[in-house]
Amino acid sequence: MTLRRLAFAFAVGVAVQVVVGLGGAAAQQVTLKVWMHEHPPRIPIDKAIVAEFEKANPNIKIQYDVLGVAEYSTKLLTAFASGSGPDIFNQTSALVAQYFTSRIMAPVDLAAMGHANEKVLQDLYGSGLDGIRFGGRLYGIPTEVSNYACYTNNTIWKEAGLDPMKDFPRTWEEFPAIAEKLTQRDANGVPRRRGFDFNWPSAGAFWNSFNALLQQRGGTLVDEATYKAALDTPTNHRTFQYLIDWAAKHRLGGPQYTDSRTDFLGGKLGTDCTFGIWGIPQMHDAKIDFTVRPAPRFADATSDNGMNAYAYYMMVNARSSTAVQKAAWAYVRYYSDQAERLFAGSGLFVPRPEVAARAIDANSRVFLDELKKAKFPPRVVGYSQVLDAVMRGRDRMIQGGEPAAKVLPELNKDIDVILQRERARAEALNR
Amino acid sequence: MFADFDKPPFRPLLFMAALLLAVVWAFPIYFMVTSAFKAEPEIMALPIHWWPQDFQWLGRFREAADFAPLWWYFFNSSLFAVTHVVITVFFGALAGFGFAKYDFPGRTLLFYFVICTLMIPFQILVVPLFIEIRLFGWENTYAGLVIPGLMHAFGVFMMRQYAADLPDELLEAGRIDGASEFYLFLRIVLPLLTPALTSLAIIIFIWSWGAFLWPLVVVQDRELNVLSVGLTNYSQPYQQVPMWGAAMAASTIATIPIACLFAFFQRYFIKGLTAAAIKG
Amino acid sequence: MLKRTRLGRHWWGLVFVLPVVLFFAVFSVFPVLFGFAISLTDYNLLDEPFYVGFDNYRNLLDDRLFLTAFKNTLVFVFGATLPVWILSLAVAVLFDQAFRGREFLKTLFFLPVLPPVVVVAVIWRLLLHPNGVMTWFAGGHQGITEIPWLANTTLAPLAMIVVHDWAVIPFFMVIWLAGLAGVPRELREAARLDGASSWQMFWHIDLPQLRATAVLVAALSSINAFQTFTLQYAMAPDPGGPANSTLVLGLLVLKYGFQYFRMGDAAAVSVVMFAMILVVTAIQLGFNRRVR
Repeated sequence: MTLRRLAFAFAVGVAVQVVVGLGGAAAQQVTLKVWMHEHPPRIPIDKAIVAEFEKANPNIKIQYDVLGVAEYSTKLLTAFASGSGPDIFNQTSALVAQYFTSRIMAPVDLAAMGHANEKVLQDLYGSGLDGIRFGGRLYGIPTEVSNYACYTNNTIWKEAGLDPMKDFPRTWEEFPAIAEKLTQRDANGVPRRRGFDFNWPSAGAFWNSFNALLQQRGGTLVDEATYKAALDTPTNHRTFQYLIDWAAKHRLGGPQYTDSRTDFLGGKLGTDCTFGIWGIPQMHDAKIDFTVRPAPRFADATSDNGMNAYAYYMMVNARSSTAVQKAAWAYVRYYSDQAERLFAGSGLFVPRPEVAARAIDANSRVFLDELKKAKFPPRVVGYSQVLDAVMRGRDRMIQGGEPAAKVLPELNKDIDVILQRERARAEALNR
Repeated sequence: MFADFDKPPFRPLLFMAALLLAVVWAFPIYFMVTSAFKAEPEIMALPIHWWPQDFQWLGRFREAADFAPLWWYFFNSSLFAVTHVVITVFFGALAGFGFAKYDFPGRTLLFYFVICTLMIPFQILVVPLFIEIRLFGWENTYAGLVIPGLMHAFGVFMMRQYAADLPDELLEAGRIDGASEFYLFLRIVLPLLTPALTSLAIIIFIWSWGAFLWPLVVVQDRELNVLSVGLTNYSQPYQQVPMWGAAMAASTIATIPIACLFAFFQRYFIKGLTAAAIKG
Repeated sequence: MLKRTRLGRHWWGLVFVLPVVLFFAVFSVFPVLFGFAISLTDYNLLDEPFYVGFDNYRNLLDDRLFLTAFKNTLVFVFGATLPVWILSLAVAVLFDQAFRGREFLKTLFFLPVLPPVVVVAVIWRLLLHPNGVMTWFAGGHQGITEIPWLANTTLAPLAMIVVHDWAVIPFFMVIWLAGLAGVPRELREAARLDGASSWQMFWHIDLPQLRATAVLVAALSSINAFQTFTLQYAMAPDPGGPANSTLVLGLLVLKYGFQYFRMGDAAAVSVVMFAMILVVTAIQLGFNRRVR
């Protein structure tokens, strides 16, 4: 315990020294515009960090703004477009590919951050960096790395005579039978309380679930290397069919119902697999008696990954002036060193040793173990278009009743069209 | 239609048919208003609760105001609508008067120019207008919200029709007395046009009050938004179950101004609507 | 008749019309031209726009989203014009008759016109909840507890049409009534003296006199239906509906422009919409001329 505290204090101390040293070296007055998305518990900590940094670096002034999640991406885009974008911004891994293609992000400046080499970062963050590495270079630092795991509502499970620890399905194949026991239906067989359902309506959550399932059997939606859609394979067809059957054949749920997260927090769903470690405080607030379990795998899975990981990265605007960029990386270094404090105060996890050491209870350990095996979903420019296409294709099969054999090749082609257009644009801009 | 002006005849078949239609058509409105005063679980209760069993006076309204800046929405919608009404009516009347009673070079051309804008659907304006006001720096500001739709060509068209009917002698009389053209407009033309102006004001108010696409696109701050867009916060909240009670309460509030206009100005209301229609 | 000798006075007319002319130049006409220009570029806000000629239009021909939206819009326009035309006429004829309680019932019938479109969408979204009021009306006595009105790919577009029609029929009824009021009484009385039945009177007297109104109702309802957007946006749980079954062109412009940030494509779709509306307007003008 004390050793850990010492380690933490040491880390902070080093950070402060470095920052103060840097601050002393670059003596000109600089203002940094920092934008972050709204996550209420994190905001007071951010403000404290800003104050500390400004005190230690009198020549750097920070203008910190929080933007609502729903409009954050749009505002970022329009701000960049009009040349008034922030100098430092954070964004989720699904959306960074477009920033790379449009050269908005500056590559990590190790010197300005005060790191000796990239191995230091690798040791600190491990696979959390995968989402922000393009062409072998890093373009940001993680402020949050999350992966989903499954939460069970113990009350509902026990009511059905099941034990979340022993009876939780290891495989997707055995899940329908278990979910059926947890489901309450009315006279028409309509599920009024579901045992488990995928998160169909919530785009991001669906993306992280569905891709993970494909990856378990060794398939993928998009081949990042060739930048082509790779959906139309027999293995992927089978995986997709599982999702369709869940709604259409077993009638255990489907896109027409409330999204799984909302229902789980409302105590109306037996199991949900779209919460991260940050869900734990939410469960306490909603007074759900829960257990965390690793996500099921396919019996014939070739990859032992659970649900996907995603991250929030802090990045620097490549269009800002050199002096501003240097100061920005100094701030990023200081901010990222506060990781333990951020985790303690707002539940945001990064796989840094000091933070991981804090996550010691059984539930949190499930997340950490799963994170080591988790993969990122494919990163695509035009993410919202591809995601829309996938969800609409899924709807055609589930709600429109069209056969997968017809829809999936068409969906594959649609995704390809989107990818090729984006690639054509990147080439036209000589990138 | 009546032979005399006594009470109309009692014709049960027609009455029943009309009653059925009226009830079916008015039901959703009735449902909206009663739901605004129900407790949340009662709203979706089946069989349907025709009248709130647990009458909640302002519970849903308070909920709506707590969850989202309802009064800001109302204020912004009012500002938006009133500004549009005042500007369109005044400058529409001015331009209508100009087109009707003056013969200047280019009059026909400019008139057709204005009329052509009537045919432009908003969807073709939304993207370029957005980029345009971003260049002005008006994005996400009151200026950007209110200014682009400030004048409606329909106002010019309608006012020209009415202004053309004004007797020239009155105007000439005014001129002989030494009045300036603008004074003529303010003191003679406008008063004479009042009924038409009222109808126009009502129709412009209704159009502006219900404006949706432009506010949706240009506004990002919650406190800047208008009621019509803000309403979707209750029915489509971010990662939450819809708040139907609050949605119905806010919907009722959104309907009240137009309902009031209808109640007090029914004649002008109907006249305004039909005038809007007969613009071909 | 005084002869106007001072032409100078007429320059005031120019001054009076200048404000509106300038306004429309800046905020209507210029944007349309600008929109055409954007439709010839590839512009995603982050990068500089670059010229692609008519590629955006060519791509629309293979674009599943566009073709779906195009088809859905045509279906919607059909459902929003023909039934509305017939039903609003029928209701107008009913309310044109004299009977006790007519004014009160007419006012009740007219209520759907009052709320803004968003309110209509939100109310119906609640009513059409799969386990909600409309399900109960439709199948409650048979024990049906769930009808996916807005989640089924066939029911959802149908629901949009029905709700839209519900909201606009009273409005068009008023227009028909105005038209019916213009039918000269002498014609009716003469026919009555000749012993014509109500149906015969309607068919041979009212209808011919209503030709202008008929064209007007058809044109208005179709032009309005082409541009429909708010209803689809606010009523479907996910704009575009299940499998994009309620995706209409108006919604597609928003999707391309402000969700995918493909400004050039958004502009191209809006130009196509504009063209379709111009065609309908031209047809209406043609009919109008023939009627006169």
